[in-house]
Amino acid sequence: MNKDQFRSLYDFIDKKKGSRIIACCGSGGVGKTTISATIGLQCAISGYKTLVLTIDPAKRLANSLGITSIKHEEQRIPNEKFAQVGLKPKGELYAMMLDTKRTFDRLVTRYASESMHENIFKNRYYHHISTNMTGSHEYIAMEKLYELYHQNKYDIIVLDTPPSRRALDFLEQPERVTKLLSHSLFFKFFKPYITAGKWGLKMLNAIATPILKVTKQMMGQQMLNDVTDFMHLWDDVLFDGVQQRAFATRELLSSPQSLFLGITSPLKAPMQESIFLYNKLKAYNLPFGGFIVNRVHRLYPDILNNEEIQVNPSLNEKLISNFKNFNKLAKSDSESISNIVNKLGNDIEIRKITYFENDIYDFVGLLKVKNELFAL
Amino acid sequence: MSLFDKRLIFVLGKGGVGKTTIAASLGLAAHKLGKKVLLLEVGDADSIGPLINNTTLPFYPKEIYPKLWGARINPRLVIEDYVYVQVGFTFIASRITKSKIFDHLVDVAPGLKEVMTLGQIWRWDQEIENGSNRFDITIIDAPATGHGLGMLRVLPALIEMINFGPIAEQSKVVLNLLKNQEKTWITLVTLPEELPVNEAIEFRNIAEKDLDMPVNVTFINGVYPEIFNLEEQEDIYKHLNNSTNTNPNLINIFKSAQDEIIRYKIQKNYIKQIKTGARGFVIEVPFFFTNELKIENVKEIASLILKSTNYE
Repeated sequence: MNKDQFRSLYDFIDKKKGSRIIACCGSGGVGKTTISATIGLQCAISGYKTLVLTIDPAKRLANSLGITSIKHEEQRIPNEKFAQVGLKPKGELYAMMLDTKRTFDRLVTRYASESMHENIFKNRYYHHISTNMTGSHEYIAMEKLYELYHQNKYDIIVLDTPPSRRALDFLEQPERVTKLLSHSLFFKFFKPYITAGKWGLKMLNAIATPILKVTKQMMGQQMLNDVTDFMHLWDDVLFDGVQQRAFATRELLSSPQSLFLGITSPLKAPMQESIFLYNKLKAYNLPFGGFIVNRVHRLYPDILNNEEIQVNPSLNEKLISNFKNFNKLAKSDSESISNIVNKLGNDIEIRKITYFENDIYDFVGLLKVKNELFAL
Repeated sequence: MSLFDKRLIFVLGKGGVGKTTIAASLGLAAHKLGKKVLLLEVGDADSIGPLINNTTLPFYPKEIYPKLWGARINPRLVIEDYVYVQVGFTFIASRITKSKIFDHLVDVAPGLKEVMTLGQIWRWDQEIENGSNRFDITIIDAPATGHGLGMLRVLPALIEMINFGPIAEQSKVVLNLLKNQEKTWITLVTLPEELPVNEAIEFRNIAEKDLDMPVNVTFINGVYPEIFNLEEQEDIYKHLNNSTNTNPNLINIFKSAQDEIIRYKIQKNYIKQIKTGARGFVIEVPFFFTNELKIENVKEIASLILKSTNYE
């Protein structure tokens, strides 16, 4: 492993033409948002109009970018912020936080016939899927990404993906993603009844196949009403629109205009998660740019001779044991990184970012990370 | 205010804060008190088993040590079990659960997986064996998504949505159990860092105000020890600023001392923030200088929990 090899990302930023996407994936708590902001910063400095798109209510991102809060609209980071740390960006930096509910609503207003809007918005089932159904955030992140990409306003969009395995669900057949909404099979199954009469529920009752009986028993009549209502409202046009978008988004993400990065820390769980992620990306043949291992402790040479360290007799022991503790951690970090290399092969690109003693909470901190991430 | 008198202890918190470690430690602590403990893992992860016993936990309670059971909850399996109970005929039930349409229904039904998970927790809690409870206490390592809040929020939402029917009825019973603080406690795990602390405070407010299930124990994980006193700190800085100091080993030793001092100070501030307004117990769990915790560490945390909650 050569520390100077992180070419995929550098080349992707500096040599690639046309609008492009950098997707940062990884589990929560590894500093994914900070890394996304850092990459955005670098892109802006290099002369590109860049947007950092996040889904978390990222107060930290706002702070580190020097703004009070991140809005649900695209928001420019003023050049003064760069100037304060002696930088003059050749490009522009924007940040934006996703609002799942609002993006869902826009999907409806875009694809459904106008007469349907109100009924869809009122539907309890719609309310549920657009606010707290598992997978909604992930789906909507992809939806927004596609929309922004095709507005052609930005050279580079950096996506800070939601911190869960589901963030990768879009890699499965887009059908699985759209299942959340349109559910072709479910829809086809219900449609004859729905179009037959008033929501067709009387028909459903009459037919009462064992499946529906159980379903009704489990979910209750009211629930079934809501879902079938929803399916009725969620008409063919909407269905086709959503499905097409899901396919197009996947195509975009598999194209050379996109690059995926695995963000992790040396801790065991995030490391395992990033290997899971890598395998999934490979399985779908998606462009992978390497791992960024954040929060790696500095490794110092071992002390060979305790004798020479006699500084202060009372303090000596504490100092040595503290040093050993930190170095033990640093070694554990190295092992953890070697493990990835052993598992995934030598040609895997890995960039380590130091675990700074201070939290990264401002532009200066971001700059520190940038200097490591983009040091050649 | 006795932690281990409860029937259910939920361990919640965002991903990466060490929920599994705390859940396992709570399990071992209750076990040490002689309780019959059920340790449950909810969600995709499979980490408790490897942590305490180098195995994968099965989907039904298995006795790992005498009087300590473990299981992972697979909502899909629970739903299938439920269908078998509802239908009564194995042949029909298997036809249903194997059908594609059922698959889709399970996916679209809002909150069905969560409510089935809670239902399963409740059923195990209620199990009687030889005239007494099969388990005295159940520790639940909640999924990381949405802080595990989604799982707790689903019941009121579902009851409102379906109103009646067996699931609604079951939901009401389970919700009563969860809201009963004599029987159920919510515990929260966080780290002394900016984002986790903010989110923990937000979580605490939601749990108390919206869910009516207040957080009674807060675990602050990965707390650096205070190693150097003020005088020693001054000494260390003096050495660091001493330019005649050229021994690289010595410089490195002071640098790592500085790392410790700075992190300790930063953490102290966050610990103060989380402690402000916290109810019940706040337990500071020490940082172990490793990337992979071992069972010995879990045991150490278990003793710490017993001490901090007045059991030892």
